[in-house]
Amino acid sequence: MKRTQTTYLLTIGALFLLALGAGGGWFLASWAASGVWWPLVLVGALIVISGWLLHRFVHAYFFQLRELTEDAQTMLRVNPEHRAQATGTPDVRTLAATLNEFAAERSRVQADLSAQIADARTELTEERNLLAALMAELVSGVLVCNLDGQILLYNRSARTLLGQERGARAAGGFVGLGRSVFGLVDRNSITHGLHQLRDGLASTDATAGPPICTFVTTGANGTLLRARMAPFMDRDNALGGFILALQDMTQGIESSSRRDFLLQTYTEKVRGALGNIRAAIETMGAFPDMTDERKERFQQVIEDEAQRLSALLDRTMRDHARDLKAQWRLEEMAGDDLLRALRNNLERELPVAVHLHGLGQLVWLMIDSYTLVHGVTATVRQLHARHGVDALHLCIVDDPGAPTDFAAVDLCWDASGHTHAEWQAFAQEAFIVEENDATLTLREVADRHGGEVWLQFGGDGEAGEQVYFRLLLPVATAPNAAPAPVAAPDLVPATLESRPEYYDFDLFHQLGQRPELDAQPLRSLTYTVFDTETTGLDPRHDTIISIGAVRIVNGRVLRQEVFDQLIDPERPIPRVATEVHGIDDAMVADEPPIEQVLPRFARFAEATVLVAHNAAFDMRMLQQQEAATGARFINPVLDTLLLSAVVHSSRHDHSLEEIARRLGINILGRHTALGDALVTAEVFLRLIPLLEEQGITTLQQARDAAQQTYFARLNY
Amino acid sequence: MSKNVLIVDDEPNIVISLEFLMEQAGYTTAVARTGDEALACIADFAPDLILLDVMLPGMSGFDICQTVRQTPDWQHIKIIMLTAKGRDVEVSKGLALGANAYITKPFSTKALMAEVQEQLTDHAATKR
Repeated sequence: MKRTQTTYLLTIGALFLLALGAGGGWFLASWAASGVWWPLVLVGALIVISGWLLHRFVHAYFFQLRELTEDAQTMLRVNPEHRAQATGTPDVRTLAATLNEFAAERSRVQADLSAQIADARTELTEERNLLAALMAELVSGVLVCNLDGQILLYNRSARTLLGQERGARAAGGFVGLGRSVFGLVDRNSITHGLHQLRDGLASTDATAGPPICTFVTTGANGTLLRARMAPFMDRDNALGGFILALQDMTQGIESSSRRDFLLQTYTEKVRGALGNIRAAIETMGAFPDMTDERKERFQQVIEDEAQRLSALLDRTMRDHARDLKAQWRLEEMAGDDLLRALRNNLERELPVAVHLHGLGQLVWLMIDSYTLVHGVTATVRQLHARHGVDALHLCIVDDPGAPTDFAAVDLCWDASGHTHAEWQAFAQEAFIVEENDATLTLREVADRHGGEVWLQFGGDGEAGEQVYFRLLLPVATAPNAAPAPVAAPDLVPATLESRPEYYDFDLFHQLGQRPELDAQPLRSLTYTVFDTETTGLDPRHDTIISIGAVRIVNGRVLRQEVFDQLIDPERPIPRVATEVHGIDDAMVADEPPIEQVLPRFARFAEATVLVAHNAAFDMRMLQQQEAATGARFINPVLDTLLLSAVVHSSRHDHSLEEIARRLGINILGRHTALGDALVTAEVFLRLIPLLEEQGITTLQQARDAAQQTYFARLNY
Repeated sequence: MSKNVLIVDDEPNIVISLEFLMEQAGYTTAVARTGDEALACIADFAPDLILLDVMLPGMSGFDICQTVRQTPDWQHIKIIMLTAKGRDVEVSKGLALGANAYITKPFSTKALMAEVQEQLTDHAATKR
């Protein structure tokens, strides 16, 4: 097409010159013959006029058409809301208007179509979101990988258990879509597991369920993880990959090994003291004739040791009570919530009215709420059936006699109608633990909490005498002292909508991407799009103070998989620089130096193609630090500035803002490294179809095309 | 000639019983409270048998046992280890390091005396 235009232009130019030559020759001849001056002026005027006309013609039918073509391509491929500029000759203006009408019509049709597709997909999306929500809330870490070990799906817990938290400086892998699981979990364990799964699947035993194998591996901070590995099948019912479920064993191990240690030291001390007592008593018995003085000394030994034993017992119970009784799974619950849960359950199950008192105390209890609610309900059922009690009062009281880390929950009712002895008899029965009886008694409830329960009388005021069960329950040491539910305080937004980015099922069919990256289609490559903020613009003297990056996997920007790190430049940041990016000396004071950050970033970007806007500058900045940090960046690099120049060769403004505007991308949070990286990523994704339009589909072609553009010659 | 018994223990409350029992049985006794004291005592006092506690300040009973067994002149000395550590693995360790017997606290005094006598008779027999 370009060639046709050029030929057309040359033809016109040649014809013009020919006409000019012929006309000029004729006039020159006439002038020489007649000696008159005016034909010369006429010729000059004609040349100027026809030159101007030619310029108009070329501009209208060549340059404006070319811009129109680019506009049309943008409308077609990238931004359907883009509209052609209606300037130039009436013909061109009509064409632009017609194009715009087409575009509008197409947008309308597309909107209709999108609505239909959206309707059809709602159900699918709901299911997908349910899966994502389920995965996200699981306490176990879940990883789904294909047979090459590439991660296809993961949840937040997996990232916490295995991955490197943001800002952490420990060595360790990154959990991310498309990344290899082998950097995170021992390769041998996985290979071994895969063999076992294959063997299990090959066995013809139909009664056996799907094969599962388990192993123990080490997590991010040296924690021990129990891994369960299960197979999943592909469409042909062959082994397609595996699911890893990971659980932190450390806590369980810690508490049980503390108990072991305690038991051991306790036994030792008791043995010693008992040994001394026994030896003394037996010696006294064997030699009754020993002197009184000696006898007294032996008696002193026995007394000493008995006291030592008592003190030991007290100390052990006091110091290790929590370890000793932690066999039941206790969880934190606000006192008010417990009272409400009790009331709701009692009123639902029984015809009783329950009144709550003293709400609003900030008491947190460590309880097994299921046991508690059912134990209390069983007791109240008895109270109602046997003694017709139908009004109860529940409150949490401060029992001054109770240990400080216990709170008292009182269950009160009107004592009238029965004697103390009768109520006590009831309580005795209510406490009896019968074997094989599924009904929980208050005694059992108390035991499971390491607490106590008893019956008491009191409150003999206007309301009449009250009788109550007082249940002592352990108090949580501090609100939320227990391991907090896995929550990532970093950039992961907790909205349902954003969750689907955690998985990418298209990766199922992608084989390992080790072979020649250059020959791969742009659409299928994994990219790390990044941006840096610096102390200035001279790569030789200035340094990086912020790196932001985001990953693109299978044509999607993974906003959860980002790198966002400030860096201490170990020198003052010039004010001019601070005015650009807002980063000042105070902000970087506690941040790691470049020597720590770049190796981490190199791992983050490992085996991906680097993308940046005006990449030459950022690459120079990175490479300038190679010697100091040991981090090498040998990844292939693409530059959105150059790629934009490839697809929009007639435009001159290739700033990030302008490209983003042209491609219909909303710009938010610019001039932070991460913000710019995100915009660059969106820009890059929209440039891909435009490049394909020009036959540029592979990494090699994109790099070649970029090099040929004018901007490529401006080497930094 | 009466046999010499060295008692190595840092707890006076057990030493008093052991000392009395050994003297009543006709043995000459000496007491050491630490590992270093014990080694010095072995050289001076030339015991025929050592009642050796495992938990001592500084050098442990296991260390003393090992040192005795590595000294050629002291090969004939019988060692009975006394300990509050009752785990089977520790009994194995004591015997492996050269103890002749391993008695766990609390013990019956009769059983202890029987063991002492047994060890010392045995010793006399082999010497003959």
